[in-house]
Amino acid sequence: MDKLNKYLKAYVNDPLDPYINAQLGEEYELIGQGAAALSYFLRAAELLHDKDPEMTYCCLLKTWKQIHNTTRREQWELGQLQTAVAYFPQRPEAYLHLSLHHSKREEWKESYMYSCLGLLYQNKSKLPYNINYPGDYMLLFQKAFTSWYIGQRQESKKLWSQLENIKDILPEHMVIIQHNIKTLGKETDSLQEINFKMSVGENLTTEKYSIIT
Amino acid sequence: MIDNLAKLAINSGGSITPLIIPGELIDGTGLCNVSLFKEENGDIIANIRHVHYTLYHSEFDQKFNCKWGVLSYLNPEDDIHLITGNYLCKLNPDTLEVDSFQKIDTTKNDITPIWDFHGLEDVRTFRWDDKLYVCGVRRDVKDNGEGRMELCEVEWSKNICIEQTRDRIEVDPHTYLEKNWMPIFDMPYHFVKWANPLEIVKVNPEDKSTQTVKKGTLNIISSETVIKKDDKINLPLGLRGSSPVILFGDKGDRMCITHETDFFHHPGMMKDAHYYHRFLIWDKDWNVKSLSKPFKFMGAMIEFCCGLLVQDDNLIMSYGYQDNAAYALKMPIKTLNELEWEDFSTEIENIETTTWHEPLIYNPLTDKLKVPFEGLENITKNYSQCYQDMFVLSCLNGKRNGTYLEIGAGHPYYGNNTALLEELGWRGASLDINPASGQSWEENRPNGNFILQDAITTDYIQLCKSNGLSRYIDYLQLDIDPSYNTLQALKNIPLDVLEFGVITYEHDFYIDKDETCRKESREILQNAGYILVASNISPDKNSPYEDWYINPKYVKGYKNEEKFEKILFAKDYMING
Repeated sequence: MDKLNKYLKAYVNDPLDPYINAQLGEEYELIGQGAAALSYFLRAAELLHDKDPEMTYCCLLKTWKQIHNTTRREQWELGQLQTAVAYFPQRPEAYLHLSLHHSKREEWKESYMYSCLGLLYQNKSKLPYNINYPGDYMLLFQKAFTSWYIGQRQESKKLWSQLENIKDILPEHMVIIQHNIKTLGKETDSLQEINFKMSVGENLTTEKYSIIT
Repeated sequence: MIDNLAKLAINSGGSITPLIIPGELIDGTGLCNVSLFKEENGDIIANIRHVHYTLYHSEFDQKFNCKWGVLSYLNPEDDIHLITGNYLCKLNPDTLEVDSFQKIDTTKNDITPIWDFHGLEDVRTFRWDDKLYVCGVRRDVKDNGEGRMELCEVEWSKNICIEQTRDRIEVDPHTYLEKNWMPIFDMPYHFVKWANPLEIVKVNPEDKSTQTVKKGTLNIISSETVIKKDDKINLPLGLRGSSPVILFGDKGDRMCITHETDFFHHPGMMKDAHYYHRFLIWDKDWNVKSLSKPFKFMGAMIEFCCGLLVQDDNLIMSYGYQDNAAYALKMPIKTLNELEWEDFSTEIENIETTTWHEPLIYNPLTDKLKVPFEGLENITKNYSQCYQDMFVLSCLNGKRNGTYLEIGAGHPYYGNNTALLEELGWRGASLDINPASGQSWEENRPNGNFILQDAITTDYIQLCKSNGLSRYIDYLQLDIDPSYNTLQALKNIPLDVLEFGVITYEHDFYIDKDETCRKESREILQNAGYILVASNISPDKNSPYEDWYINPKYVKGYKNEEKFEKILFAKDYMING
C-alpha cells in the first residue's frame, strides 16, 4: 500500500503524466484491483499513443491483462488484443495471446497462424511491465502444440524436440514439452493417434498443453 | 474551473486514501461511489459500492476505443446484468483506510431481479433514530426498469451485516425513476429530492403498504413534499443529488455536494459525458447561500461523490473514479476559500463543452422561415441541431398533438428534435440504448416517453401497440451512432406496415467513408415511397450528415431536391436571407 499511496499522490500532482498513470496502474494490479488498474493503464496509453509506441502497446496489453484476470469477457479480450496488434504489429506478445485465445477454443488454424506471426518478431527488447509473456519460446511452444492439431504432426514432433533444447524455459512448460516428446515419440499412423483428445494434466499449473494420442 | 480538487486539498494539508476491498473478493472489478457517516463515538462508517463490471472509458483523443466503443461496461459476457453489491466498512479515523468490512447480506429481502441493473445503487449510509440505514436506488423489480429509492435498515455487528428491512419509497405523482435523493443527516426521514429549485421530501416509514410485482411483494412507504422553493438558479446543466446533506458551521447552515452531467458527442459521433461536482451551502432557512463553480476531483471524465462529512477542521469527501476505484479525500475546510464561487448577481457562465456543432437555433425576432406554419408566432424557442423540429412543423403546417417515433433519443433538450413537438402536445416514443440518456430524460424531461432499448432489435409493431401509436406516425427520427447502426435500425422498421409523414435520417455522410449508409438508406426510403426533399443537411457548409424526407400522401407542397450530392447548409435551407 505504501507504493500505491506514493504513486497515487504523484498522480494527483500530475494526472497527465502517462508514466505515473502506468505505475499507479501497476500498483493496483499487484493488489488485485484490476478495474482501477485498467483505468490508469488506459489513460497512459491514450496519453502516449503518439510519443512512446512500445509503452503504449504495453499499456494496451495491460488493459487486456486486467480483464483476462477477471475472466468471462473473452470476446472483449479478443478485441483488445486486436487493438494492440493494430497499433503495433511488429511485436510478438499480442500474437502469443491471440494464439492462446484461439487454442483454448480449439481453433487450431487461427492459433497456429498467430504463433507463426509472432515468431516473425522475436528478440525484441523487454516490455516495461509484465504482460504474461514468458519469452519467445512460448510462440514456438504454441506452434508445436497447434501444428499437431492441424495435421502437421512431423512438424509438431520436430518443434517439441527443438523446444527441449532451449534454455530458460519455465519448469511447468518444460514438463509439458518432455511429456509430449515422450508421448509423441511413438511412431504410428493409426487412426487412434489422429483422433486425439486434449487432457488437463492434474499436475500442470498452466494451460492445457498436453496432447494425448 | 478546478479540474483537480484533490491536488488543491493535498497542497493545503489534506490527504487522499484509496479505499480497497481485497481483489479476490471482487474479482478485480470496480469499487466506486462511497458514502460516509460519522457515528457519535467518532467511528467513520463507509459504504463502498462494488459493481461487478469494469468500466472501459477511453479519454483524451480516444485512440483506443474498445470493441464496444469509448465507454463500455465490461460485464461478464455470459451475464449481461450490471450487478451492484455493497460493503459496509469501518475506516481508520486517522488514515481513512478500510479497517474492517462486511458485505451486506440482502438475501432476506431479495426477490428475483428482472431488469438489467441489479442491486441497490449509489447507497448513502446514515443513522436515523438509532437505526443504521442504507438508502439507494433499486431498478430490478419491474421489467421496465422503474427505479425507486429504497430505505433499508441494516443490522451490523462483528459477525453479521444483514439487511433487515427494505422499504421502497413511492412518489406521487408517478415517475419512472427516482435516484440520488440526498438524505439530510440531522433531519430523520427527510431528503433533498431536487437541489435546484429546492424540493425536500419526507418519507413516512409508518405509512406502509405492499405492492405485488411479478416476482414477489414489495414493502412500500409513502413520501410527501414538505419544502418546495420556486427560485431556480440559472445553470447550464442543472444540479443533481450527490452527497448527503450535512450541518455545516455554527449558524445552522447545511452543505452538500451536487453533481451535473455534460453529455456530448465525440468526433466519431459516439456519446460520452463529463461529470462535475459543486459545493452547495444553504442557510438555516434553506436559502442558497453559496454555490461553488464546478470542479473535478481527480480530472477523470466520470467521477461520482456519495460521501461528505466534517471531521475536526476538515471535510472528508468520498467518491468513485471511472466506476473503477474509490477514494476518500480529506481537505481542510479553510480550503473552501480558495475555490471559485458563483456570483448570483451576474449571469452564470456556461461550462465549456466539447460538441460537434452547437445547435442552430431559430430566432423568432430575426429569422424568417421559408415555409411558415400555423402558430409559428407562438414559437419562442426550438431545440434541434439543424431546425429539424421546425422542418417537421413546416411540413405538417404547425400540427398540434401529433405523434413521433424518435430513434436515438440522446439528450432530452440539447439538440433534441422532439422536445419542441412535445411542448406542442405531441406524444410518442423515444428510444435510446444509453442508460445515461435515460437518466437525463427522467431528471430533465420526466413527461417524455423514454424507452431504454436497442433500436436495431426492437419489434416496432409491438412498440407502437404498447405505446398507443397507430400505424401512421407523423414524424420518424433516425439518429443513432454510428451511422451503420442507424441503417440497421431503418432496416428493422417494417415500412410496409408503419407509415410516417416526415422522416429525418442521419447518415453521417461526412464520416461515412464508403458511402454505404447514405446510399442504402436512400434506396430503402425512396423505394418505400418517401420523397427526399432535403439532402445532405449540414450544420455548417461542409458536414453533410442528414437527409429529410416527406410522405407525399400526408405532406403536400414540398418539392423534391434534385441535386442529391449537393450540401445544404441547414440555415440556408430553412431560413430566408
